[in-house]
Amino acid sequence: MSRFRDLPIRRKLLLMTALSSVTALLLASGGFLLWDVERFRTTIEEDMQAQARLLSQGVSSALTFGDDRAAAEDLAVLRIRPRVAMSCLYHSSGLLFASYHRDGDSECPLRPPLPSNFGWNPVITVLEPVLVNDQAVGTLFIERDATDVYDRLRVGALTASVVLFLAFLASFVIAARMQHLIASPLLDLAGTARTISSSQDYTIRAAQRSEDEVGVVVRAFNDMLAHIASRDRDLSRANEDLGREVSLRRAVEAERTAALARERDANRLKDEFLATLSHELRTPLNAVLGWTQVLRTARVEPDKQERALESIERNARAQARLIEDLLEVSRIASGKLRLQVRPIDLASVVEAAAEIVQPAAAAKRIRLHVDLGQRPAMTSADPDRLQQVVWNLLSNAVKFTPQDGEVRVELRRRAGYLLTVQDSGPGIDPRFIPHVFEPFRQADGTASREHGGLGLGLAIAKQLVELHGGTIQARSPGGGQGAAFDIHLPSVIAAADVPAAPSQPTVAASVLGLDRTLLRDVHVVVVDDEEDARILLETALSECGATVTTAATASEGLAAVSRRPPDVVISDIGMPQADGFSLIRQLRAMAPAHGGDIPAIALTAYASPEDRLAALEAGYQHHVAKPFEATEIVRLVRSLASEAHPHHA
Amino acid sequence: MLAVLSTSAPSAAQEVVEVTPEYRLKAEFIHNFIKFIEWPDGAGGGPLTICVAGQNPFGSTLTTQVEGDTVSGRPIALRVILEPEDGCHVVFVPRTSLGPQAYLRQAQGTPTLTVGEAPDFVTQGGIIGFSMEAERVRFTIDQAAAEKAGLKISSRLLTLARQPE
Repeated sequence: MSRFRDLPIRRKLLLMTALSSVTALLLASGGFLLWDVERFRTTIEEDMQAQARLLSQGVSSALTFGDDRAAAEDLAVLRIRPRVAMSCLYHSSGLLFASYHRDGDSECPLRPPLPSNFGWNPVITVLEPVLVNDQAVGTLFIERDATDVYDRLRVGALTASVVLFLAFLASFVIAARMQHLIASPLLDLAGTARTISSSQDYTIRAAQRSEDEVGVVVRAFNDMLAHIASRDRDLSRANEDLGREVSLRRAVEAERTAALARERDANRLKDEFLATLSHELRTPLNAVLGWTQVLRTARVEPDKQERALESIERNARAQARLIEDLLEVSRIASGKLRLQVRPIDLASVVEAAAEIVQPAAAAKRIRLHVDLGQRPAMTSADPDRLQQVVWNLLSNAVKFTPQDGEVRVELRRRAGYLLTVQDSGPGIDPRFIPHVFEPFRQADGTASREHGGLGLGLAIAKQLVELHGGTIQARSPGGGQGAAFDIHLPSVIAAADVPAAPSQPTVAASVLGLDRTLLRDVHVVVVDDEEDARILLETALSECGATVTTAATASEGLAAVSRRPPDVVISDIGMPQADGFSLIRQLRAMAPAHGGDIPAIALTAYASPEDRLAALEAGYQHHVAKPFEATEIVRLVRSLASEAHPHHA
Repeated sequence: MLAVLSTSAPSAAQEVVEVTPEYRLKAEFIHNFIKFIEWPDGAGGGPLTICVAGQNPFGSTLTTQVEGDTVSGRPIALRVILEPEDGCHVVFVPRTSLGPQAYLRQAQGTPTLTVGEAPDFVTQGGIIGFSMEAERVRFTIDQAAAEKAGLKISSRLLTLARQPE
């Protein structure tokens, strides 16, 4: 049975149809056959009964008169019935009176037998009483063989078998033809289900061809698929959301990790930088303090004294330079740096920078080749800043190039200007090249490094070049084959359009190298609590022809302004009692006639951009960080004085 | 009287003994004939009477046979007659009888079945005549005579009878 259950539906339908039709035919034909044979037999029996009755009447007289011969003759009429095997006539006393035998081999029973036509006897027997005037005078017994009944049964069964076989064939063929009505929708459905399960494609739908139970199943199946598909969509949407969230979180996590790494990196760099800074600031101080002590305590020969002063000045300048660099980075970082852009000759800038490093190069016997190409190389730029950049690159080159080495400077026109500084030093580790322009980065971060510096020069150079709309790149094959820096600057102004630089009138230069009449008729009030600063400023400004009034406190300064309003006020910010902010607020509170709108310069060691902003907001026109270049102050005072009093210019 | 009585008793016994198988059969036959023959309706009521002319050869066998028997609801009576009489439905004329013609004449025109033993009994006008054939009792029926007498003889009886010459 279970094997049947696993058969394909096609085969099941065939089997079921064939089996049911065969069973029905078997029952029908069997029943008919039995009925037919039984009827046949009954007919025969009735016929024999009638025969026996007739015969019994015929033989009644012969029996009555004991005429056995006549009786035998009467019985012999049964000869026309070849199936009758024998016929026996018994006297009422039970004795055999007369008989008829078809063949010789059968014998009449001596006594009349009992009626025995039950079941499937091979013979049919009839017992008929012989009556005369309603009185039984004897019994007639007829025996007939029933082979024809069995023949009929055999023939019937054979016919039925043939019919059955044909019917089975016919039903099989019809079932085979018709089973697809039921089987094919189911097979389609099964095929669709198989396809879906193998391809995982839930958009496939089974075709519904009918409204019967199979159609209902197909519709339910399709509904189920739709459910699955929608659930799939929901799931994949949820998955996508989840995936997005996960990747977002991962990104955030990576970002945080990177930020952490950057922060660690920055901290390390800052630590390194602070160590370097401390070292770099101490180094010149050593020389300054050492020489100062020597000068104070010992009797020093005049030529030694000169050397000592020179060393002190050089070291002080170097330190000032360091601090200036730091502030520059800070300015650039806060976007406070302003370029004084004007038409310049790039070649002159490069030449000036080369001249500055020439002595250092000569000290190391380094050959300095300068190839400036076609002159003038005009562009719009801040010459001081550009010179700072070129000087930085050149001094780096000289610094890293060993004795008897070579440094090349080339200026070429190439979509603007291309300035290349090449040295024959140890070169740059290719791994470090990407970091070369980062502030506070030095290839050798250890305290025992060979070369000094804060690692700010290249960062500043990069920022300055980019402020000019240019680019700077470092390249080095590494391994002692030198390094090269390429600066590309746009040519903002065509060379022909630039008017020749106005020639400065050559006048007698001051100790500072400035015109002694530059600040003639200019009155300056200087307020600073430090005497050194006051004296330095007074000396520098007086050298250029200015009238200087000094004050040690804000109130003294204000008093001086009230006494005689100056052209410019220069004030320190950090002072005991009233500071520079207090002073400028009080000054600006005064009436213009009493000096309320006198231009003022804040001169302070508070050099951060915030300090600078605070000073400008408080009312100062300019902010100059200490230590200052005297020449810068002189220029600033002159420009402010000429703005306030154009007639002076 | 005692002698008569004594003789009559053994004689009666002797009579019984003396009844031959032939007559035992013939008594039976006569009894059976009645069953196969129909008398016309006008043949009178009362019992069906069998008359034995002259000497009774059956002894008591025939009496014994018909006693209590009925034919078509009529009882059967047995009578021995010495001369032709009216009221007989069946007249048996034994071989010993000297003048069967008288009985035949008497029966003429009446529904009377005449049965005789003489070889020419049927030719003389009798209806049924007995004969012997190798120990077997045979009989001849003159159907024409029977029809004349108004008797209906069953065909079954006729099939058993010998045809008259």
